[in-house]
Amino acid sequence: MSHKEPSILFKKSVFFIGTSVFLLHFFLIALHCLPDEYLSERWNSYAHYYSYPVFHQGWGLFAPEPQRKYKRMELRYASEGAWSEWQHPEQWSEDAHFTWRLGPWSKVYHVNQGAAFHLWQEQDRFEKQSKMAEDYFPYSMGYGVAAHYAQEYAYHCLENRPIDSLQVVLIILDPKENGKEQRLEYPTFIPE
Amino acid sequence: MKLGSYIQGFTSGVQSPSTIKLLRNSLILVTAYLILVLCLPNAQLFWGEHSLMPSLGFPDSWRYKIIMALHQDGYGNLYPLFFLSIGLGGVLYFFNGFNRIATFLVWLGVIVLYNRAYLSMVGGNYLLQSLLFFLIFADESSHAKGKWKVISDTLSNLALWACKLQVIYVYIFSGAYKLASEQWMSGEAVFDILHLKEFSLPLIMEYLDSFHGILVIIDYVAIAYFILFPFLIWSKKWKVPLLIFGVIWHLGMGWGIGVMDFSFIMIASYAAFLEEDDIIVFKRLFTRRIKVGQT
Repeated sequence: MSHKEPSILFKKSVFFIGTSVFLLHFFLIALHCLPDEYLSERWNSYAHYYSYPVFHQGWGLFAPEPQRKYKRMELRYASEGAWSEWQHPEQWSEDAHFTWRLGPWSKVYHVNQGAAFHLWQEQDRFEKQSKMAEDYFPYSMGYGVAAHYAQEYAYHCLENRPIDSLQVVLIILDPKENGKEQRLEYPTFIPE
Repeated sequence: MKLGSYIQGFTSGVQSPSTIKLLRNSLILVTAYLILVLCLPNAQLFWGEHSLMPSLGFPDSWRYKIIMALHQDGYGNLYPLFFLSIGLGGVLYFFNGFNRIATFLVWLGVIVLYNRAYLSMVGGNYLLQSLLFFLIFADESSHAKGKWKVISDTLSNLALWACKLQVIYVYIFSGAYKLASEQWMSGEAVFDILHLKEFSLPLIMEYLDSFHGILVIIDYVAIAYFILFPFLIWSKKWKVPLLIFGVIWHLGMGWGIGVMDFSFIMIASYAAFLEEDDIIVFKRLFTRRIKVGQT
């Protein structure tokens, strides 16, 4: 079957429609990448509505400001009225992550650090509001992520004992301040 | 060149089929590494009933319902389907060349799986998702005819431009944010990052203070590289050295701070800038190296 060469009008139409979508996409992505304070609320909402969840640009490459503090969690579990020793979940994958950068344990380490990072961010938000810790953290995302992590860490790594409750603490270390650690405690979490 | 003849060329053939093919091969290869090496061994930890990450709530919209499928009650254990989607996409691509459908399956699997394993994501995952999405529209070996060919070729050419611009965005925005950062501009950023155990290695941390001056230089080189990349990448003279530097840079930083997956994605994305001529130069270089190695 022979095909007639499409007209230049058809080609121009396809080109201009395609290019318009292309330009609109990258315009909205550019707005999404700008700091929120540079745009009005309306433009921010357009850009973010378009970009999440498919086109979110979550690459920061340590910009604008890289983190300055090292964070880790310690976890302990109450079972039949007795608390366990404090667990160091980062040790689960740390050695493997340091030794073999290309292996799967690197991702387990990132998940652990990600949970600690969420809790740290939540701590930051907590300090900027007036509620008590007991009224704030149980309803917050960062604490929820850390508590869930702690619960499932026990499932995967510890003896299979029933957990009545658990506690998470966040240890923050500023390497430039002579290795002095800050220890932040959070409300006890009772698994469902 | 007149706009009319540019449009004629843009809509009447895929401009860089080898580039699209190389980019797709590179991204699918990196995806295979992410899935087979990094994700599958951790599948029980990242997905399913005992995932280390809690399910998240999301807005009531069809886009979220697809992308966040594994966050929904009763759907969490369906994660093997999305591994299957990636596998099927890979097989379709390498054996049959259904480029668009294959890339869609890979993209769908990647975006749904990683959105559930959100704590394991690095910046590169977002870049990978965007690049795979654009490549859904590209088909370097399309057999379409007539009006469909015009649409297919235009989409392929736009998709490659989208991939290029996406990578440029990473460098432009990250570079601009670095320029606006006190920590980066003071030269301390790399030193500060490598001071943190989570982004370093015991060996590096031990000798960090002795190499403070070098790390300040690396900080400024990073800023210069990010700022210059969007401009020099279009220069025939600078492109290949720039990309070679980028490969070394990303491998070094990836190893140092422990995000090799991010490095591989960045390096794979460079394929978007390799024109037919550059690919020939690289092929010649590579085959010459192999021959020298053999003798």
